Amino acid sequence: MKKNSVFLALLLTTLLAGGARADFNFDDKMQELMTDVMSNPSAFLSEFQQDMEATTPLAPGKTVALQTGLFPTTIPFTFTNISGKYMLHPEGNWSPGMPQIDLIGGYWGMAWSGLLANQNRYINDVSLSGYYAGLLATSSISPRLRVFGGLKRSRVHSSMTLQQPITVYNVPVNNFDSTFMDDFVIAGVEQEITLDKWWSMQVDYGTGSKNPAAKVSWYGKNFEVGLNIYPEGVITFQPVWNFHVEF
Amino acid sequence: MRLPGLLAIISLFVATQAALADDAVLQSFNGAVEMKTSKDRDWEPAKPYTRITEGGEIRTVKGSNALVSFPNSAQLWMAENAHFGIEENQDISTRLDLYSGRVKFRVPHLAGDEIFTVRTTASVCSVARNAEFVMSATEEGEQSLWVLFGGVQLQYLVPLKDEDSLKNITQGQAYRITDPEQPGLLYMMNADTERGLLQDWTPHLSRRQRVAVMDLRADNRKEMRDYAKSSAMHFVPSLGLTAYR
Repeated sequence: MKKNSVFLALLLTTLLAGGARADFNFDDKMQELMTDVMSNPSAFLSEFQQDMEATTPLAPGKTVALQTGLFPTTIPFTFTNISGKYMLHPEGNWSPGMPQIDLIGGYWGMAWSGLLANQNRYINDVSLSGYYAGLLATSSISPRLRVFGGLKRSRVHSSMTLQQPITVYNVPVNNFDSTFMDDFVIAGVEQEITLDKWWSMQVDYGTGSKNPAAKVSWYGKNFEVGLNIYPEGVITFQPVWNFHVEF
Repeated sequence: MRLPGLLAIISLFVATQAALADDAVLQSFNGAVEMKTSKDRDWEPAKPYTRITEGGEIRTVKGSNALVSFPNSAQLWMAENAHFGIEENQDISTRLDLYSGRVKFRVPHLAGDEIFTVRTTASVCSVARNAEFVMSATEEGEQSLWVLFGGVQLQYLVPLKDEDSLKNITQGQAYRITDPEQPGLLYMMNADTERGLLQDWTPHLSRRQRVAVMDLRADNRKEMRDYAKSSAMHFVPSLGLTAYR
C-alpha cells in the first residue's frame, strides 16, 4: 500500500513537471539569449571575466597570490587567464586599525582564437580578451571573520569577422567589434572555517552598467569553487572553479 | 604667589608622567599580586601605578589578576597563577619572559625596527608590527599560543630536527607545544575559545562587563544578518525563483 502511494506521488510529480516543461520553448529561449549576446558580446563575456577574477583578499601573512580560472573559462572556452594579488599594506601596519590593502588585477585572452580563424571556413578573424585592476581593503572584525570592500575596473574587448553572414536561431551574425568597460564597487565578507579553508560571499555593482552581481565561494590552499549570480545577465547562475597559489 | 605653586604641581605631574612613560607600569590588579620592581629588589605586595624596571617581575595567585602597560602602548593582562618578568625594556626593544600561567598581550603598533618578544621555556614569540594574542606556559615547557589579531612568529629555542623551527601563526590560529623539542600542533580556534579569549581581562570588571563589547558586536552582526536575509528574500524572487518567495 505504501509502495503504491509513493509510486503514485512520483507519477503525478513527473506528469506535472512534464506539463510545466511543455510551456518552455527551447528555440525561443535560445533566440532570446542570442539576441542578448549579439547586442553586446563584450558585456556577455564580462560575466566570464568576473568568473575568473580574484576578488577575495589575501590571507593574513601572505604577500602574493596567483590565480587562474579553470571553469567556465579555460574549460571549455580556452579563455586562458592569469590573475594576481599583491598585498600593499598588511592590516594595522602603518597605523592601528588601518585595513589591509591588496592590489588585484588580471588578464585573459582566447588561446585558440588564431587557430579558430585559420581552421574555420566561416570565420575570418576573432579576438577576445580582457583585463581588470583594482584595490581591496580588508578589516578584521573578529579573529576568523573579515569584511572587505574595493573598487575595480574591468575591460573586455571582442571582435569577430565572418566570411559570410550566418543565422543562429534567427539572429543574423556578420561581424562585431565591441568593448565593455565598467567600474565596479565590491563588498564582501570572508570567514576562515578551518585551517587554510575559507568561505566568502560578496556582491559587486557595476557603476556604469548598473548591474549587480553576487558570488559565494569556498576555497582552500589551491582551489576555489563558487557560484556567481548575475541577475541581469544572460546566464544567471555560473558555477566557478579556480586554481590559486599564495606566498 | 599661586602661580609658582601651580607651576610646581604641573612640573611634578609632567616629570612623573615622563618617568612612568619610560617603564612598564602595573596599572591595576585584583586580589593578591606580588611584584619585584627591579632585579635587585625582593618580592613585595603590589601597589597600583608602580613602575617595573628591567629585571622586575610580577606574579598573580589563585583568584588574582593584573594589568600592566608598556611605554610603546602595549598592554599585558595576567590571569590567575601567572608569572612574568621584564628582561629588557628599551625604546626599540621589549623582551619579556613568561615563566608560567596565562597572559594576554595587545601590541597596537610597533615602530619599523622595534622588537617585542615573549620568551617561554620552549620558544620566543615575536610580534612583527601589531598583534593581539594569548599565551600560556608552564615551567616544564608546555605552551599554547592563540593569535586573536595580527600575526606572531614562534621560534623554538631548541631547533626542531625534521622541520622549520620558525612558525608563523596568524589570526584565528593557535599553536600548542607539549614537548619543547617536538613539533607542536597548529589548529584553528573554535567560537567558544575565541569568545573566552576576546573577553576584556581588565581587573575589577564583572562577568557582564567583560563580555559587554562582544555582546554589542554580536548584536550588530545579528542585525547585519537579519538585514542580509531580508534583502535576499527580495533579491531571490527578482530572479524569477518564485518557489523561494
